[in-house]
Amino acid sequence: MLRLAWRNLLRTPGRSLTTGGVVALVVFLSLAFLSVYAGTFDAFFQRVLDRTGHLVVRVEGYEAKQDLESLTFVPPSLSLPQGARVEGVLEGGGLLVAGERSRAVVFTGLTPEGLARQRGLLKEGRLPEASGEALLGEALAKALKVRLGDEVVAYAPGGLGLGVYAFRVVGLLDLPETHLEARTVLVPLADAQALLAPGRVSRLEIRLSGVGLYEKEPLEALKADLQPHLPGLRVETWLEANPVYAALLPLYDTVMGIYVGIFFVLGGLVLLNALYLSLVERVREFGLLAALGLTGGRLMALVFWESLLLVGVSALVGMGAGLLLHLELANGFRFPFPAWILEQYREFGLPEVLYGRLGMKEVLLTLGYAVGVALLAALWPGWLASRLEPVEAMRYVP
Amino acid sequence: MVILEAKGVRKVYRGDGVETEALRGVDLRVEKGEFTALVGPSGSGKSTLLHLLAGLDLPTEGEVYVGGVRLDRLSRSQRARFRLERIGLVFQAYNLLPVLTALENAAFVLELRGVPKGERERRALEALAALGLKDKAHRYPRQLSGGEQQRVAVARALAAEPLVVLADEPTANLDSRTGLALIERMKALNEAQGVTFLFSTHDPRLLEHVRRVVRLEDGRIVGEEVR
Ligand SMILES: Nc1ncnc2c1ncn2[C@@H]1O[C@H](COP(=O)(O)OP(=O)(O)OP(=O)(O)O)[C@@H](O)[C@H]1O
Ligand SMILES: [Mg+2]
Repeated sequence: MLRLAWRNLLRTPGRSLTTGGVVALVVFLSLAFLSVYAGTFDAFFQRVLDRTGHLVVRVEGYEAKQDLESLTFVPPSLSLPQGARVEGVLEGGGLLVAGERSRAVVFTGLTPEGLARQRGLLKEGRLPEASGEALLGEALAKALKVRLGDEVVAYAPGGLGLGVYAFRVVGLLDLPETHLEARTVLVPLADAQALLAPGRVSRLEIRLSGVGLYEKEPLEALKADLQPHLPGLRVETWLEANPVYAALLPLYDTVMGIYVGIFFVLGGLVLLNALYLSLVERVREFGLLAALGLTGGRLMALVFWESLLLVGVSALVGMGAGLLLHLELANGFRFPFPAWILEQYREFGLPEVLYGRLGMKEVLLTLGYAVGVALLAALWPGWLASRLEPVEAMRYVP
Repeated sequence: MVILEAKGVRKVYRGDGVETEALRGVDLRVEKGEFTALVGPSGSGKSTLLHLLAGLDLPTEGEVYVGGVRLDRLSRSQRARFRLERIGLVFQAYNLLPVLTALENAAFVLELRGVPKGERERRALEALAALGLKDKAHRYPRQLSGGEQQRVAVARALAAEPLVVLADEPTANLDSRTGLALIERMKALNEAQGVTFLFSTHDPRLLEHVRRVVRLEDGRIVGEEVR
């Protein structure tokens, strides 16, 4: 029986290759797609996490407060687990003046680590290395008509600090959002404190090591540890601090379900078509087998083995190719899109280099789906033939 | 001993709103060892009758017996199993599985029966030899002429040692010389091994060696000659 199945496959290499090719392609594309999809999702949230830190400490009720004094605090000492790092950030509004021109801006004071993290956004120049050096959004620099090396003056009167401070522009930033780019000034934390609020920060960012992207428990545990010792302050996980993005997280499965559903339905239709077309012509052949004395059950078994052989082998080929591509993607990839599309991606908050991710669940889902649909498509004509009288099957016209 | 028997068999084909009465009450008996031809013009119902006798289809009315078993009372898979064990079939065309060699085709029914490889190949080879195809046993159907393909089909029927061989126009695609040669070989096997044959044809030149000729017209048996 298996011999007949095997020979049937070999007899019509064109047909077998088409069907097998479709199966392999569907598996391959599904795996590639799933890897890219998860990678994109991860990249998006990784960026949010990088920007926020695992935990953020801010003043209680900061959303409703306006003035610098009530929004900032003197950083308390925290007892943190091994490998955790704390960075203070101070943010405050003011005016940036260059010659005749001035613009309303937000000054952000960052620690050296915080500044180093901006390297990816640096369009021109370098990061601040000493006091009195600043990074400007490119749009802001353009509006003020300043270039690298120029002097600018920061005004932030009425605060707790000096209220005025001179900076030299050492680098320009290319931010995804243009309206932010026109208001961004990054300076060393100590300078910002001198300008705005000596010794104070508007938030503390806590970064942990060895915590997975979507892992919640260690964050919740640390938060519960810290909160009681911080009266007047509020500890939030990065997802709590970014409620809009956090709301996207549960969409992962939904969107994947929809995307994958559409993809699978399309792939399935092509697959059904390929298999169905090839097998309808064989109902007559099945008629001959039935005439010679093959019962319906044995006929179905024959079709089953034949299809399983073909579909199984091609699904494995597709999976092999898909996994190879995935390994490649997992090392980092860029979308092969023109620059203007990539720009849109950046607006959406995606880095240029993404890393593919593929879970066992996705692989099994894809394999099971492809093999299942293909078998179904193959068994259908077999079932049709086995329900006909042999004479009818032998003269079958669909 | 009666091997084949049709009693008051009617067959009506219904499809697309048209009804065709292909058989209008046929009574036929074939005894063991007989060599019988079914003749008649195109559309007279020869194929229909053979199909009913083989259990490939069910009569609208009447009874069909093969070796004493009432076929029209069996389920489709019971009929399939019965054919496998008892009936050898030869069709007008497309008899062979293109993916199997002549030998494998001739042994196919035995293979379905579960006969071990050695024995079924011996029997298939014997049958092929009896039909003059010993040296072509390992060819695929596409490498054989039409007449050779028909002989492989007969060999397949014979190798299974059935109760009866039913052949529907086994010579239809052959020229009359090859057709005659095939009929002669069948006749020889009938005489040597006592195999019962019932075959249809509309070529009167093939009937020289046939002792019993049943004439079918418009779904009825209109005459019978025994020579
Ligand atoms: N599946 C079918 N559906 C409808 N009508 C059919 C079917 N099979 C046969 N017929 C009709 O039944 C009648 C008998 O057909 P059958 O094939 O038995 O004739 P036949 O004697 O074998 O003819 P031929 O010598 O041409 O093979 C014909 O009128 C034919 O049109
Ligand atoms: Mg006919």
